[in-house]
Amino acid sequence: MSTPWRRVGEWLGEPAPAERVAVLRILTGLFATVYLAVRLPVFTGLADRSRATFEPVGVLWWVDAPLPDAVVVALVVAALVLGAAFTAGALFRATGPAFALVLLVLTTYRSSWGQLLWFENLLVLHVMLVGFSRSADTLSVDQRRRPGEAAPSATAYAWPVRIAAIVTVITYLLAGIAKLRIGGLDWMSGDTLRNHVAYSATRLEVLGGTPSPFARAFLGQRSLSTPVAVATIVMEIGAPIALLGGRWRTGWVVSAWLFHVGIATLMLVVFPYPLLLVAFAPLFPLERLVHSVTARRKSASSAA
Amino acid sequence: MGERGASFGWHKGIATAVIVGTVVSPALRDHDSFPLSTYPVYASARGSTVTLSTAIGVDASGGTRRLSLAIIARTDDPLIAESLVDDAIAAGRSDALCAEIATRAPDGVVAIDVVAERHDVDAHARGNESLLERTTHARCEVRR
Repeated sequence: MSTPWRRVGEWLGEPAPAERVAVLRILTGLFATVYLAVRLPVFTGLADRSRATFEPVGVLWWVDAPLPDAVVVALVVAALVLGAAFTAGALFRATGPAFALVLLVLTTYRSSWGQLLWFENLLVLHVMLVGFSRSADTLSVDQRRRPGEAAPSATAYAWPVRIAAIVTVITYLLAGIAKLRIGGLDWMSGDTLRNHVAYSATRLEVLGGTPSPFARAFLGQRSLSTPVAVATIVMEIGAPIALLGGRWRTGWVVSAWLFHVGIATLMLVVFPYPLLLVAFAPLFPLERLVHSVTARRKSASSAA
Repeated sequence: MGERGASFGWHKGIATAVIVGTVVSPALRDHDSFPLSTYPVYASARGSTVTLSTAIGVDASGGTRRLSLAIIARTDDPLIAESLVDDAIAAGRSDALCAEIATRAPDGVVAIDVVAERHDVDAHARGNESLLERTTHARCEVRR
């Protein structure tokens, strides 16, 4: 095997403690479950949508009519129950894959009404990776019931997190490529971005919402739009540098997060998964969170 | 004792290639779907004039007023509301949507119009009147 491929193999095969993927399980599971609970009216409201607007996508491409209302409600309830079990790591060999599949079906169903929503793609992909991995060997109900199953360190605990990190990076890279492919280099002139912000503000007003007060200020400063557009493309196309780790990763995560803060501030379009940093979690050695909490507990108990 | 990096097996190598290939594949096929996507978020060129579909309230004096996202589409998401009205107009179901919105009309509204409005977003950004044209696709009375 040539040296670059060997290095990639070594990087992918680097072992990690069981806590790494377990923390990712807790973060993604908690986020997904709370997200489903908060968005419950949207999901249950699908039962009332007109069948004329039903355009099945993804894994539901073969479905020729909307699901019966009872099935939609059952899926939502199942997702909430399985999501709680997924997060707690209870009966994970069954609930991990089951939650991943129910979440996939439910979110695909939601995107099957003529409007693909990009808020949920990365979340679903991460939950799929974690749900089908050994992510409940520690920090879980299962571990309490059967202690001693987790190895101190293994590739099985690192690989799903590495893949989740790669998937995060690819989604941003594809978004950057799409802007250049569809909008061309002109996208970086700033006019397209400016028109998107202006469009978003107008749309909100026309549809009875309240546009961001910051949108008008941004649109009033024409000189801002070009640097912001260039920075957006650089951040998205440059996403793979996050896989180098260290300062490269942290710098990229900060810039990607600021990008989402900008969208939320100017367009009132909230991408909660990256805004709450869960989307970027696989890029970090998550076991340190556990070690840090454990050390704090120890020092607190020894002080007492 | 943990495994070493060298123990990364061929099966994981293949799985890695398959997963990465699957996530990248929409861009190669130029096919956007869910959850595999080309992520064309804000990628399309936008001009300074846009046409937006919406529903508006009409009061007793014939004046118009904006309705909320919840009244138009029972949502807090403008993307969903916009696609709901767009789809209804495109599918010739404006009357049905109009009647449905009328059941949620606020006090003071005597009729609902399902409309397509053309706006100058630059003018809107400057705080000026932006409406260039309004086409009414359906009108229905509010029954109380």
